[in-house]
Amino acid sequence: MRGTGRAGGLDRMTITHSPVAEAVGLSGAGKVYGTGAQAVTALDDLTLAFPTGTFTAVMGPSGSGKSTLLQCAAGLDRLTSGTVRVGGVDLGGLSEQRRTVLRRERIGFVFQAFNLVASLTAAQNVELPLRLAGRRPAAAAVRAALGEVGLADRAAHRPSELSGGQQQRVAIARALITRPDVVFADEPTGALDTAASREVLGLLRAAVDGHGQTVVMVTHDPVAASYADEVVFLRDGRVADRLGGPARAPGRAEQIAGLMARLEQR
Amino acid sequence: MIALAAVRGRAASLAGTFAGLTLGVALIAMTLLVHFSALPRTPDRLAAAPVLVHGPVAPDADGIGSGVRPWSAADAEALAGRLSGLPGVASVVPDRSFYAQLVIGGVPIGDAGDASAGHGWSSAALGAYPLVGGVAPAADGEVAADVATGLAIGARTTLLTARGAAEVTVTGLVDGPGVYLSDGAAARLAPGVPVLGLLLRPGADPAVVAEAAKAAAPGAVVATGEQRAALEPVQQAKTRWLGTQLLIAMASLAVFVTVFVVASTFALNVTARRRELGLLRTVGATPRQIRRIVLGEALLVGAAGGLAGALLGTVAAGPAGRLLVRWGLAEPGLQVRPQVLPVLIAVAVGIGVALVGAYAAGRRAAKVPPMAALREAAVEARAMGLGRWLLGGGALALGGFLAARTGTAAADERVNAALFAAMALTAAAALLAPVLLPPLVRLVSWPLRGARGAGPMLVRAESLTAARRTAATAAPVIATVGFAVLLSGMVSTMREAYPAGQAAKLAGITVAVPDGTPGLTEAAAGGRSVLPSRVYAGDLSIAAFGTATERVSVAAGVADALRAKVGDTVTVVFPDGLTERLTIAKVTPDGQIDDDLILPRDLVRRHDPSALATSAAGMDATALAGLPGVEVLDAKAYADRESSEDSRLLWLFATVLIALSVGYTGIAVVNTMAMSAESRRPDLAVLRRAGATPRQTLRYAAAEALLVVALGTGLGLAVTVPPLLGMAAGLAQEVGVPVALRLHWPVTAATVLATAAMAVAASLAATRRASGHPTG
Ligand SMILES: Nc1ncnc2c1ncn2[C@@H]1O[C@H](COP(=O)(O)OP(=O)(O)OP(=O)(O)O)[C@@H](O)[C@H]1O
Ligand SMILES: [Mg+2]
Repeated sequence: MRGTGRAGGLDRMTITHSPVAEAVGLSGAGKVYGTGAQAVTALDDLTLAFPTGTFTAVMGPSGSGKSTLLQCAAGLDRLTSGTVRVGGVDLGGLSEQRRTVLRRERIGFVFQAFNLVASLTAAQNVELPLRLAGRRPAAAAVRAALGEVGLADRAAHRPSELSGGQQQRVAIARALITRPDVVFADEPTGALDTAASREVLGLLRAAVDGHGQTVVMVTHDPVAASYADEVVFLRDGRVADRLGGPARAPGRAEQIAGLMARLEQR
Repeated sequence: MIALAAVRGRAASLAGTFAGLTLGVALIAMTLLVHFSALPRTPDRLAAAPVLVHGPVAPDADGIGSGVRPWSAADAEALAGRLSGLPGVASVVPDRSFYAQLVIGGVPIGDAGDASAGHGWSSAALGAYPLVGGVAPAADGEVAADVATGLAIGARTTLLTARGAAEVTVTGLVDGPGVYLSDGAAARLAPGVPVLGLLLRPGADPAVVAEAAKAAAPGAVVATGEQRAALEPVQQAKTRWLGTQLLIAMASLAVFVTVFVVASTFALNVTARRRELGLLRTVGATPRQIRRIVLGEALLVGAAGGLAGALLGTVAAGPAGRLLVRWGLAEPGLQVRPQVLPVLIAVAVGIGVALVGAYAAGRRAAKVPPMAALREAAVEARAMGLGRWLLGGGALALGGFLAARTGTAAADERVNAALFAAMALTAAAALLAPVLLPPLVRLVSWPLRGARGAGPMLVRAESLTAARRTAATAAPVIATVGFAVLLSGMVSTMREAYPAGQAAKLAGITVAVPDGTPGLTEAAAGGRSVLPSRVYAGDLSIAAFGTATERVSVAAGVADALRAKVGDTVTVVFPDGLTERLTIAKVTPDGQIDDDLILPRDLVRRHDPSALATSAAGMDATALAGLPGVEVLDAKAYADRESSEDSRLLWLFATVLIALSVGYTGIAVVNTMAMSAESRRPDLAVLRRAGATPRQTLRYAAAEALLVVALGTGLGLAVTVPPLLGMAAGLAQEVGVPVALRLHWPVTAATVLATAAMAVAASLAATRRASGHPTG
C-alpha cells in the first residue's frame, strides 16, 4: 500500500481525484495502541470521506476514537492499517519530512488546549506556520487574521496574558492564516462559555462558507455539532450513525442530542 | 525568531548553560593567553647578537626535550674564522655554557636548578653585559661575578664546577647574570660549542649577514630576530613543558566539562519542552526545523557565553600567569599580554562546544512526535535511543582502553592519560545512566519498600519513570565526584608508590644528594654515580647515562627511532662535539626511568667534563662532611625528598584541577536540580491539590535530590576505579614494588557532602519557587 502511495504522493499533478471531490478520505483505517495484552483498538476498519467545502462534526462517547481519527486524518499520527488521503495524496507513503510539509501547506489544526507557544506573542503564534514554511509574514495579513477573530488589540500579548477563549481564537487565526484546505478541530469549544463557543463556531462556519475550506470538528456539544453540515457518530472505533444537513436547522441540536443518547445506551 | 523567543522565554533555565559556557570559554581563553605569552623568547644572554649560528635543534625521541648539537672546539674555531671574514661581521664569539656556581660562606648561591650558569668571558658581549668594575678574567682561578652577588673585586671565594670546589679570585664584576671564567678555562669545562654569536659592524644589515652566513656554514642554523628563541635554555623549556601540561589539563577539562554541562542541560530542556516542541511540529515545523531551533538556541547561548567568557578570561589571564610563575611552572619573566587570536580561538571553541553539546538534544527534539503536544504528562516511552547506546558503548570502550593504557604510559604522561580515561568513562556513565540508574534506584530504595507514607513511593516512582531526567540530573554529580576522587586518589597513590619504590631499592644505604646545586660534582659523587648527559644521533637528541658498565644499552623506543638493533653500530656526537661509534649490546624495554641510552661512565666523563651526577648511593657521610653543595641522607629521607618535589607539583595540579572541576560541575548540579524541579511544576500542583503540605513536597524534593546524589556518587566512584588501577599498575612496574590503589578519603567525603548540600539547596529553592505558582 505504501509503495503505490509514494508513487502518487511525490507529484501533485498526477493525482486523479475521485468523482465526489473529497478533501480527506480514510479507507479501512485501523489504529491499535500498544501491543499484546495491552493493545487497544482505537479505530476499527473505518472508511469515511470528508467532502471538500463541508463542515463535519464527529461525535461519540468518550474513548470511541474521535481524537485518534482526527490525528490520523491530519497526519499527526500514523495508522496501523488502511490509508488516509489528503487532497488525493496517500499520507502513508510519505516521509516524516514530506508529511510535515504537506500538513503545513494543506492542514490546520486546533486542539482543545495547549495550542500556543508560551514564549511567543499572539501575533508571533499566528505567524508561526508561515515562518516555518520559510515565508515572510506580511504584518497586515497577521493583523487581519487576528482582527477576524476579534483580537486585533491583543497582538503583542503572550498566551499567559490571554483568557482561554482568547487563546483558542488565536489558535484558530493561526490555523486559518495559511488558508489550508482542511481544518481539524478537536473539541475547540470544550473549555469555552456559550458566547465564546458561538464566536469560535462562527469562525469555522465562515471558513467553509466564505473560503470553501473543509472543517472537521470533534465535539461533545450537540449545539456545536448543529453548526455542521453532517454529523458522524463513532462508537468503538467504527461509524455508528450519520446525520445529514442542513446545518443550523431549527431543532437540530435536540435531534443530535437524541441520537447521542441512543448511541450511549446501546 | 523562534530560537530567540525560546531563549527569551526560558532565560532562567538557560542561565546554567550560559554560566557553564562562560566559565569554559574564560578558562580556555585564559590558558591560551598564558600559553601564547609563555612561548620561547630569545635568551637575554644572547640578545645583543643580531645573528646567531647554531647546530641543528634535535628533539628527543618522545618529543618533550631537545638539544642543540654542538661543534667540536676545532670545528667551531674553523667556522668562526670563516664567519668573521664575512662583510659586516665585527667579531664571532663561540658561546659555551657549563656548570659553574659560586659558594659564599659555604652556601652555593644562585638558582639551584641552573646547570649552565658558567660561560667564557667573551660570551658576556653577546648579552651586552658590561664590566662594571675590575678586569675580565684571563687566567685559571679568576672569575667575573654578577655585581648582584655583592662580592668585592679581589675577593677570594669558592667556585663549584663539575670537577669539585676550587678557590678563585673575583677579578671583575659584570652587570648581568652568570659566572664568567677565562675563555681558556671555559673551553676545558665545555669543549663543545653549540652557538656562535655574530656581532655586527655599525650599519650592517642582519638579514644580509645571515644570508652570507648560511652559505659559509652549511648544515648550521642561522637565526635572526625571533628565530633566536630556539636557543632558550633547556631548564626554561622544561619549566614551560610542565606549565603546559597543567594548562592542557585545565583546557581539556574545561572543554569536557562544558560539553557535559551543555549536553545535560539541553537534554533536560528538550525533555521539559516536549509539549512545546510537539506543538511546533503540529503547526508544521519539520524535524529538521526543530533541530535547527535547538541548535540555534545553543548558538545564541554559545555566542553570549563566549563573549562573556572572553572578557573574563582576558581579565583572569594576568593573575593566572603570576600564579604559574609563583608555582615554578613558568619563567619569572612571564608577561601575559592581551592578544586577539587566543581569545578568538576560545570563543570559537565555546560556540563549537555549545553546538556539540546540544547536538544530541537537537536530534532527540527532532524525534518528538506532533502527538506530544496532545498528551498530558510526557513520560518518555524509551529511555535509550540507538545513538545513545552506541555513543555510551563507544565511550565505555574508549575509557577502558585509555585506562589500560594508563598502565603503560610514560611516567610524565600518566596523570593526563588517567584524566582522559576518567573523562571517557564519565561520559560513558552519563550516557548509559538511563539503563544503569533504575536497578540502582531499586537497590538504594529497597529498604524503604514497605515504608508507610507517600514519600518513598513517590520518590521511587519519579526516579524510575523519568529515567532520562534522573540521568541528566545525576550526570554532573558523576563528573564532580569522579574527578575529585580520581585526582586526589592519583596523588595519594603516587605519594605512596614513589617513596616505597625508592626506599625498597636503597634499603639500608645512605645517599649523597645535591644541596642548593643542580647536581653533584665529581669530587662529591665519586666515580660510581650515574652521570647524565646528552648525545646526538641522526636528527635526535638522546638522554645518555654514564654508569659502571662496559656495554652500551638503549631503550626500545630510542632504538626504534634510530632504526638500530642489537649488534648495530651507531655514530653519536657528544657534548664536546666529538663523534664516537657505539655498538649496541642490549635493547631494554621502555617504561623505566633513566635508560634511554646507557654508556660506560668514563666515556661520558671524557666527552662531557661538566656533567653532574644527580645523586650517589652508598656514600660515607663523614668523608663528605664540609663539602659545599652536598647532603647525605638515609634511604627513607632520600626517598621522601625525591618525591616531595614531584608531590608538590602533583598536589598543585590536583588541587587546581579539583577546584576547577568541582566548582564547575557544582554549577551544573545546581542548574540541573533547579531545572528538574521546574519541570515537575505540574506534578507539584497535582500533589498539593491531592493534599500534600508544602513541608511534605519540600521533603520529597530533598529526598529525591539526595537519592540522585547517592546514585551519582556510586557511578562517580565506579568510573574512577579503572584509571586508578591502571595508574597503580603503571607505578608498580616503574618503581618495582606492588602499589595498591588509594583513595583520598577526606577529599572524597568533602566533595560528596558539598555536592549533596548544593543539590538539596538548589532543589529546595526551585521547588519552593515552583510550588509558589501552581500553574500547569
Ligand atoms: N497513546 C495512547 N496509548 C494507548 N491508548 C490510547 C492512546 N491514545 C488513545 N488511546 C485509547 O484509544 C481509545 C480511543 O481514544 P481517543 O482519544 O481517540 O478517544 P476520544 O473518542 O477522543 O475520547 P474523548 O472523548 O474522551 O476525548 C481509547 O480507548 C484510549 O484509551
Ligand atoms: Mg478526545
